[in-house]
Amino acid sequence: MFCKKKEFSILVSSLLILLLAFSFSCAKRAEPVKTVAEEPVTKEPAEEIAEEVKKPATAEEWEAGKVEKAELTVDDYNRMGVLTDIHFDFDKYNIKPEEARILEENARWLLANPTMSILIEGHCDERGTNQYNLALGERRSQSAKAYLIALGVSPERIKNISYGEEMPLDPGHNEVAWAKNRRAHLLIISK
Amino acid sequence: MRIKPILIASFAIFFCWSTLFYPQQQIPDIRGKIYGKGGVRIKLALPDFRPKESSETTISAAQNFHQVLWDDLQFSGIFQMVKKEYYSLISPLDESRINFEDWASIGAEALLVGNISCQEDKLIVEGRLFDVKTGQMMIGKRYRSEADQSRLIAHTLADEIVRTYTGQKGVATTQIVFVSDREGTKEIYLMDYDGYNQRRITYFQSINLFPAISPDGEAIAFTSYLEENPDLYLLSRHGGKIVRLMANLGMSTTPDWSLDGRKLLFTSSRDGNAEIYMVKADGSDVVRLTRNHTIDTSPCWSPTGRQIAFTSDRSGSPQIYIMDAEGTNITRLTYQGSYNDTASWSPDGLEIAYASRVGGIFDIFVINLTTKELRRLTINSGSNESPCWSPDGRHLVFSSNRSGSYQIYTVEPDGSNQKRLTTRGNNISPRWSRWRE
Repeated sequence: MFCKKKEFSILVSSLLILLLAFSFSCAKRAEPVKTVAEEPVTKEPAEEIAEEVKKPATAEEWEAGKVEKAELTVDDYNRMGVLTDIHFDFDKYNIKPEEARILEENARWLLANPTMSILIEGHCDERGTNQYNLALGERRSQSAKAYLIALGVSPERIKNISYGEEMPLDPGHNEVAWAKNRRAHLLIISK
Repeated sequence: MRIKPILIASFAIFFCWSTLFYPQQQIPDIRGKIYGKGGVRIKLALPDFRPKESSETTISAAQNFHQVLWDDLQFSGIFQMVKKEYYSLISPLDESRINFEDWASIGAEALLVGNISCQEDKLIVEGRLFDVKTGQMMIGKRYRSEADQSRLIAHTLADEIVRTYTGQKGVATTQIVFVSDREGTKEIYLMDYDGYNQRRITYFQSINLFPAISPDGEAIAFTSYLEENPDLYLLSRHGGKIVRLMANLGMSTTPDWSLDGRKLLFTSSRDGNAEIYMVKADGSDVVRLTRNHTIDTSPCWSPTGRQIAFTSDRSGSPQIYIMDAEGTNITRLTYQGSYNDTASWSPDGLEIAYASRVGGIFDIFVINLTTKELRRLTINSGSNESPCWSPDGRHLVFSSNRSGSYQIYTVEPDGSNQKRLTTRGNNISPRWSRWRE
């Protein structure tokens, strides 16, 4: 139990650091470049702005609590891709072995983050009828849900919905696009 | 949310018809014959309607009216229109003294003559149908309505003329409900049966699917993601009220009205996986009809309401099945094709149309319920989906992407006369309305 908690806090810490580092590096990149481009002759504004850029927090600063702590939002988690989608064969809703491993990873994260609730969206490629695909998408979302429940995730934490073929990830009309679109998308909806 | 009033047009007309002064003779013995559907087509002559005033308004009203009537009768599947260029070969028409021998000489078996008058924003139309052989008037009608209801009067007259020959009203006053993404999200639209008066019904900015118009034309049932779940909604045309019949009980899709408009069949995953359910039109008394661990969807009543056709993949692939209205006596109907869905039962009860996947795309097929014989209505013309019969069984409507985008087409039951009705955006899931008596 202790081990798990430790792992969890390390995970969250590293995620936070990554997030902060990402936002800082963005700020550093974006602002000076813009200014330089607008006024290439004067040096001053560029220097002024350079001063505003915060340095990335060091490990010491972090540990000492010197950096303001930011709460990760539901959107942050989804953007970071902490959960992975699974994919299905044409006209099928069974979980393939390689997809089962992905669901096991998802389940580990969900068990480690017991306050998180998710929505599983079932999607299809465009090749069936809209009518049947809505039922097929429902089946795919249910398959994924049942698998997570079997791995110990509480049913109350999982909602599911079908979008049939209505919301393709890839709008293409080829096998690559279709394979991407036959998916169960795992979305965190509350924490 | 803004809902446009629908079908106001149909109320605006005053059906002020009267039997005209011609004595109405006995109708010739024609009802026993089968018209259309591969049967005999009656050769009908339809000369221009005479404008009663020489004003430009009346003259152009007469021309427009004649064109709509011509298109309606030609589409009906009952008539073969006698070509207009022949009419000039005979003596000019005198309404009060018709020379039937002349009309017979250019091949006409029936003659429809009429006139139009515009009086104070009102349109008055008279039409008389004659049997050319006997010279007897078969029907005479006079209509009065607002001037902008010209199309509706023409449709109404066309339906009456079809009724004279078949004993059954035509479909010119019916409508087609469908889904279109022409203005962004998939919203519900309505149009006249000939593609005119296309109008948007929903403004939900969400995905809206599978509309079905009630038999009395007063409500549309459909699936919407309006509240972020595929729920079943009912949109009433009186005051544009919307009611959510099913809320967050899994998904609720593919509604189909019973002929009396009191019940709906639909697909729901409320008890686990997609099964067929029946519900009263107010959302009460939900009854589950199918029970198995595979997908059941796309239910469709038989015209008597005693049976239900639906799609199930219990055999391993989606196929059409039939069961009794109580969910008993389930039998598989289709054995050809690896993917069959969206059954539509013909109004005479003898056939079922459906979409069948052939080489990655769909085509429309019709299966005879007695002989199990198949008829293919579309071929080499893109993917053809969601067939639905017209109330008189002489046409079907479906969607096809043969033009590069999904558009709505009509077709006769033998696959002939395919006609495109829509142009903008993608248009899918057409459903033909029933008759409104």
